[in-house]
Amino acid sequence: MSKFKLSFSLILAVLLVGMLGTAAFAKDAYGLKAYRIAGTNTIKVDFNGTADDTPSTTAFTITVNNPDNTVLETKDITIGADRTASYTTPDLEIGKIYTVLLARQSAPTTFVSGATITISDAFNVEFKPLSPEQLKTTKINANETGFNVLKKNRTGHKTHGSYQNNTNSCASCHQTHTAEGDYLLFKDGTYNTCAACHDGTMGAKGVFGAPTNAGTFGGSHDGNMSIHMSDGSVSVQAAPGGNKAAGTGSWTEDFTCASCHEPHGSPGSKLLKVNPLGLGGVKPSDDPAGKKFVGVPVKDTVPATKEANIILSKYTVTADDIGTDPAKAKPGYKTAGLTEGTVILQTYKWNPGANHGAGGYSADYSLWLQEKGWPYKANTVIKDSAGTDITSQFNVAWLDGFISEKSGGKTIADVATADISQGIAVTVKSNPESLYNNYSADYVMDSGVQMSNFCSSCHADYLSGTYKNSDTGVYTTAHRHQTNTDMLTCSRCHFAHGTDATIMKDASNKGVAELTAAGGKFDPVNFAGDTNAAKAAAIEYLKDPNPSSALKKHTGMSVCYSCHGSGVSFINDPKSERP
Amino acid sequence: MKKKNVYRWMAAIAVLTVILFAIIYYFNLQNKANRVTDIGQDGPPTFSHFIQGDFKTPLEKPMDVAKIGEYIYVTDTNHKQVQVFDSSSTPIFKFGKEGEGNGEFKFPYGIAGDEKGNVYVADLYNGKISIFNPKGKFIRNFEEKGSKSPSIKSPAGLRINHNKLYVTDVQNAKVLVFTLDGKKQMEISAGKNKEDVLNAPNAVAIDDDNNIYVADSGNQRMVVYDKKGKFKQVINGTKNGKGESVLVNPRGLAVNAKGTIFLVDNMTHYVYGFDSKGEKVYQFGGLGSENEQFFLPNGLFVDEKSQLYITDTFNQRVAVYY
Repeated sequence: MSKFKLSFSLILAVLLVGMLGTAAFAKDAYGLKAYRIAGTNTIKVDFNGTADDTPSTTAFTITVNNPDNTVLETKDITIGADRTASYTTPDLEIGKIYTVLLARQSAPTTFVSGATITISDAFNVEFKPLSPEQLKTTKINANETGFNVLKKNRTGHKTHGSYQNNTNSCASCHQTHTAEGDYLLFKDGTYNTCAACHDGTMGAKGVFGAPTNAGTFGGSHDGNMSIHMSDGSVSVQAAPGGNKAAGTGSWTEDFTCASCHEPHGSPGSKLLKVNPLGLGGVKPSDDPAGKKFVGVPVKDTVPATKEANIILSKYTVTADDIGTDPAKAKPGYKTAGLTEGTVILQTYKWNPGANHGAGGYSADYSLWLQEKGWPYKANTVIKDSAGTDITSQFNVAWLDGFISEKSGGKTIADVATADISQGIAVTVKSNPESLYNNYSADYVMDSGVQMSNFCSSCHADYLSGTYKNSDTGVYTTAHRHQTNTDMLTCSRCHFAHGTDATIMKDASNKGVAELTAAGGKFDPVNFAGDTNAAKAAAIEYLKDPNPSSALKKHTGMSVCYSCHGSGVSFINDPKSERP
Repeated sequence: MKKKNVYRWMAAIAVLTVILFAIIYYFNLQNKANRVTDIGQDGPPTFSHFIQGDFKTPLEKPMDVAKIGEYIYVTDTNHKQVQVFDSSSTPIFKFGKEGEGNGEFKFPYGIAGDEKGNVYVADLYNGKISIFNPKGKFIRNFEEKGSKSPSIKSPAGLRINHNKLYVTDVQNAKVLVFTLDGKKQMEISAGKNKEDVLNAPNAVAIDDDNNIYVADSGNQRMVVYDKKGKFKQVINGTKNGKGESVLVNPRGLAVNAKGTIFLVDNMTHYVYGFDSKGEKVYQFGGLGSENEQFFLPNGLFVDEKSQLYITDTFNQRVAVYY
């Protein structure tokens, strides 16, 4: 090789190394860099102007965005004589991803550089320059998900309800431009949207697979399943015992998960609706299950005979009401801050089953609904003798259905009448006996009857105050099981979601697991140790011979026997007093 | 100047320039190490391709994935079956059908393989773990020995490591460890103390030191235990796991040969990479249906080559990264 060629090759090599090296170390033209300031949670951000920028005159704006893309801080900075500038962020939260954006104040006024920064530990800062594409726009594209900061749900925010003003929870279920279903649902239909997450992988919040207190939608035909058909394939009016004359509009809606649950939040348990079917806006005269009471009379004392389905009566708060004895205390009064001797107006409801069938009024702590507009209008209005709305003149305990006087307002004596729209607030604890067993430590007063009220918003004719009625044999007037007491609630015998032989029990409260355990009725030792055979036999034993929409907790009519026989055989039992 | 001297000068300039670039390169590296940890420095995995499933029955709600031997097994949950692919992701065969009998599924979920290549499939709804040979032929149901009532109620995540079967039970909120012949070895139900109970754990992974990583989904965190089940730490995307978690419904997880812990965060649609101390190294993904995006992803598996398989559950596919 000639010396010339050698030298030429060397120069070429140098140029190549130079080009590659330059490319390898290439930073953006503004040299954005980030340093952790020792001992603090702040970041020092350095940058420089380019050849287009004039020292001392070119102004930049630097913006730090929070992880949710809201602005944490914006500052104007002018580069120095050496065309460099420096900025220090406010305190940042460790582990969270912030975005730093640099923009020229003079043309071109676009973002010229940017990066995401995260304080990852005591020493380091994660620094990821934004691509030119990400900088092209000053706004994040709603459909752009490549940004590190986009999340469906914000940390600490609930998916359902309790939305905060900076919420992002809507995106958990809705997609603005790419939805599969109505209401911009991300899956086709309410049932599919709910089932996408509540598929059993969320433990107690699952509605398939292992049963919850509400049973399961995951039953199989092999187990003679019975499922509450909430997939939108039937309308609400198909409800057994449903008795709507003209219908309310909602009565013809498809029955879905959202018929019972309020995915946008509810003061009741399990997101149960407080105004199912919009009945808080329907007068009982129009609909047996209606909850809008117009012209409610106001009484000084509770009458002994029926004057109206719902009345308001004066009540003087006692020491026990606000005391610590749970058997006597009325938590709503204490929550409202009432003191002994305070006079309130409390809702009372006529209960035909009270006083051994003679009937009587009992205090009703159903919540009162406020006008919230769409979709179902329902409002509670307190009026004076001229018919003027004086609701705002009182302290209103909406959740417990009573009013008390407030400073500078009207007096109880000024109330002449009211229109009351009642809601249904069911309180459920993890123990299902909280709904009907007052011996249970979890028992919640009045919640059982609220549960029955809730079910009866569709299954209207099944709400019964007495087991005695006429001999007509039709829903509305037949002899029927009492359901509108706190102890005989629907949920005592029925699941809300669904059932099959794998989760039903017999009258002695034994399901597959108990029946196939050692010593059980289907102990595998009696099946040559074959646990599968034992389980199959137990399932066969537990199959409901009349699978229907009954959603029963116990197989067949053992659902009756579980209470009335206490699970102990009374056939041929000499101690039995039953016919 | 003589031509000879010109050559010498040119050669000297070339040598000096190379040395100069070497020095710049060296100091640049030093600076980088001290100053900034580039989010991509350790290399988040690179997207390779998708596994979509059999042509006639594309995957529908794939919940979990595992590479067992040379095959990739995917729980095709809505079809109540397992689809099997070769190492090039070509559909080979599938097995299972809806039901409660032997080899039948109602909600096939976690999947894992033993050293013989046998395939263990957890069924969340049937409450059992079925064992198949590598060709998908049913062998037996996993039976717990020495217990009057079965410990497993709703199995979700599975891992097999050193002939031990690790099972997360969603309803019982426990992680159970068995020998492969069914003897229960360990039960984990809480974090740092008894009151700190697990909530709907969906997945489990084991590292080379036999540390146990649990996706404590309902508590929005990952909990790490030593090989004896003793609590070690919480990982939730914040410093020492003590801040408000950045995770929302964490699911599948795995540890690669370098000790990087991968975690699928279902409701943010991201996959996180944590170092062995639990500090976040990077994240990738995000909501969408394009390449390198996820829609409610769930399961994750790392093979011996550190390839990542992620069930992109509501995009109905498995994303493969290397």
